Amino acid sequence: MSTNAASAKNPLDGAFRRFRFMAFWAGVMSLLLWFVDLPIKWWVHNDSLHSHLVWIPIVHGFTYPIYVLAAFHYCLKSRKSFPATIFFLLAGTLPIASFVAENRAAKEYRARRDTKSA
Amino acid sequence: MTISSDSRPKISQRIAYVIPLVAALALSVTAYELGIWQLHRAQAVHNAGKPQPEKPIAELNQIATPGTDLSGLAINRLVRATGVYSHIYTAPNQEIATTNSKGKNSSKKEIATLEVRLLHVAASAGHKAGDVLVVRGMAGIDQQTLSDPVVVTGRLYPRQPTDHATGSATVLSRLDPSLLAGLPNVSLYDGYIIASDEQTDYGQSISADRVPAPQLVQSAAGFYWQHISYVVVWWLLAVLVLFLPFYTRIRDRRAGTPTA
Repeated sequence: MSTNAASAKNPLDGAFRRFRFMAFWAGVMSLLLWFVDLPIKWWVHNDSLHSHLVWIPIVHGFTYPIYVLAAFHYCLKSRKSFPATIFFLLAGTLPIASFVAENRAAKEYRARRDTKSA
Repeated sequence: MTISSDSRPKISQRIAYVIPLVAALALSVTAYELGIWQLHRAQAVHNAGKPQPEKPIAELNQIATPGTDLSGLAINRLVRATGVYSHIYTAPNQEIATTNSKGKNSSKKEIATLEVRLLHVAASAGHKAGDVLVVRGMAGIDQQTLSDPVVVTGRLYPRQPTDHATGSATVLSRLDPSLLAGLPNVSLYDGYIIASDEQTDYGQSISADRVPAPQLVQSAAGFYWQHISYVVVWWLLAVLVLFLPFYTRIRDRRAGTPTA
């Protein structure tokens, strides 16, 4: 049985894991939306091809609120400032921004974990 | 009036509290309005496929004028025009609506060659003479001789923007009166009519292999549930952003520590 500080359950763990998963998910869905669905819809004008991609905007739209909630919960738990919280919430709207937010959160999370275990 | 040294931190604290509050309010209102915008788009998509209530039949020269673009109110209207056919054309490779066994318009389309004639509508009180393209129906082997005045009833459509075939003196590449601009002594109405009924001046019906003349339905980009999901997202953001300054203030008071 381990009793050191590193093995103790961090209250940020769950919120971070949920945010990380949703950030990846929102990022992938945004990439599909911006670089697959929208170009085929507005540039290729192929209705038959586009009919196979109907699911992309709908799945993106219905999973984005889950990202927003996960990001909000993570920001509250990690005591983020007001502007940082806004950035994390809006990061899911742009294709790369959620990956940037996830990377930033991961660095902060590791830094906190290392500080605690030291 | 002097400001005491004790009041200075309080003022800066209030400003520090008000600025995020104003920012949160502005962002929240923006997110709310974006939600409203998405809601309107969802409603537009929802109503896009629905046919509009039919208006009474109008005389062509009362809702359109030769030589000018069709107004949005004239498009899709059921119209009546009285005149004499002057020129006969065919329009190949035209996509036409089909009807199902119950006589209702089906979503399936067929490709057909249509018989199109130019109808000269005589001048009447307050309206000048003009010429309008009339789709009589499917092109047949024999063309009826129609030299007497006819009363055409049908639906008015906007001109086609793209070619469907190679044009010639008697073949229209698309249903567009501008293709006939070179004809002498014609004053062309914009758009074309798909005839649903033709009668002689004496009220005798003229038979033809008619094609359906369905209402044009407006299209709107996107999908209904996609826009509804964006409404949920924007309004959720609006609520969370508005809640944020209050939460951080309460949290900081309890903890007595600033945010990261």
